[in-house]
Amino acid sequence: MPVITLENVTKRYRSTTILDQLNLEIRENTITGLIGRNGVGKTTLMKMIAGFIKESDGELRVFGERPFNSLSVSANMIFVDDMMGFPDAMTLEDLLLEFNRFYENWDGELAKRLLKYFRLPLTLNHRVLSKGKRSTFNAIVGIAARCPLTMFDEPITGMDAGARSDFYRALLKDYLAHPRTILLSSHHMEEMEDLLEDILLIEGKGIAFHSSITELQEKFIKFQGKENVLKQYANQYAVIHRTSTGPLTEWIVDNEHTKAELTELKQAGIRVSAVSASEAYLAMTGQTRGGVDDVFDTMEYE
Amino acid sequence: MYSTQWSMNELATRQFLFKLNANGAIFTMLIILQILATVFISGAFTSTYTNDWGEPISFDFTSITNDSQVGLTLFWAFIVGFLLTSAAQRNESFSFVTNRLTFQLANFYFFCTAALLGGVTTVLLGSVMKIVAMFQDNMIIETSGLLSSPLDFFSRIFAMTAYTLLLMLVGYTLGSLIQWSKLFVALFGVMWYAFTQSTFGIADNENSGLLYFFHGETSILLFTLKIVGAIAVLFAISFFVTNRLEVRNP
Repeated sequence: MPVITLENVTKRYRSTTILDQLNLEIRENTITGLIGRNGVGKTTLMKMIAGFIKESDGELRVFGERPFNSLSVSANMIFVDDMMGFPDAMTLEDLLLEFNRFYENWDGELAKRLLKYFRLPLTLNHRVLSKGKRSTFNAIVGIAARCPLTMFDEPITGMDAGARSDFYRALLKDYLAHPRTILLSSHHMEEMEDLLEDILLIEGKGIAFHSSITELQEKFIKFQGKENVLKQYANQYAVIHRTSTGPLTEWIVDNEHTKAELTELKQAGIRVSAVSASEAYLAMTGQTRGGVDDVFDTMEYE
Repeated sequence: MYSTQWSMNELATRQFLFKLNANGAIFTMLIILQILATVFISGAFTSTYTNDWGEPISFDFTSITNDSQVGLTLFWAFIVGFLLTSAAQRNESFSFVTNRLTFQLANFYFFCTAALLGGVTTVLLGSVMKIVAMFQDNMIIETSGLLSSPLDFFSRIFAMTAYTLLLMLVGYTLGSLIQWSKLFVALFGVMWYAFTQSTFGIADNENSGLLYFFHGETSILLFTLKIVGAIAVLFAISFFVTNRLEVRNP
């Protein structure tokens, strides 16, 4: 049974439509990466699921209930982002006690040990923490609450590289020991690739892709070679993304070809390889053909 | 699929306890305001006039009131009500488990506690004023205290608590409406002007108007009913707004 279901869910702010007619099911006990460019509505979707904001249209169900104003959704869900507010007067230790008051599965011991590992003194105030430390604290809370539905919205904002990989590792370890449904949004696809099972890609007010991460990778294939060779032999493919670094040009194309075609390409000296999930993601969301390079190229010609 | 089920009341209580922990500064503010009122402002409300019936008897009548403490406590109540509608307060509550009803109930419990504290301390400050008066020479103190008229004393505490709670809900309701739409700021400005003009502007309407509706009531039962009714209306209006608020929404 799915934990989250959306049927034709639309979210509008006044006259602007953020998300349009979304249909979606998130299975229980999976880690889904929520990805998309800035401002496509990832946070809006998560906040609707959390019950913080109201859907404008359609039917949204979390644990079978409408999340807006639902106590059982709130009690079984935690939404971690950098807007989490905590009272100025309370130290981190006080906050841990409050979390213990509200979350039934809260593991205070784990939270304390993680805080110690990330060098967050319990006597400090949440307000005086640096941006990265604050994100770390929020992320730790998200892990230790062990909510059946755990959502992280850009949890790694401001964290250094070490903290980021430690966070992903801690999340994975705790997830394996205590399976739950996790939604995770981040722009650093390459860092969370190993963690994710499913990918939910939002683009153009709707869902552009929702399936397993391997399926995303299989959608594309990568050609590497000299630009003129590529143009000569591989022009019939739909090129999603082109980059040129040094003497080699790289094309990411739709993965639709026959074996014979592949052999021919290889004979022409083109290297054919699989794409990583983050490359596939970039290819899907980056504006096709050159991306930002085009902006500068056209300027030079004018 | 999920395990945790809270009852509405259980969560409201937990949110209330969280609010008490988080907002200790509100009570510190009350104490500071009352000390300020007692030390600096109360003298302004103390008036003395000499009634000279000729020799050999003359009396100085000094009236000492704790009006300043009452005024500052009510002011504090209004501010507290307003403060609890802030976006920061909402985000703090919604960092934990809550819905809009438990949020509103927890706020109400908090107001009741704060009002009781404000009511009791303000009335007790009247006793402090009496002690201060005793230090002056040849003072005959005529007043009703806890021992001489306990019922009077407790009804004062009750009335003060009721007014404090009422002011908190007024502040809370205004704050909620302003959170909903900033246009209410203008509306309240106009309403405030109209209110002060109609209430304080005309000299001979002491027996009518909104304030008289409460303070002119002599029956404690009817007074209670009026206060409870007003609080219920304010609670309903503010909940109408709170119940549709979207949180963590910049």
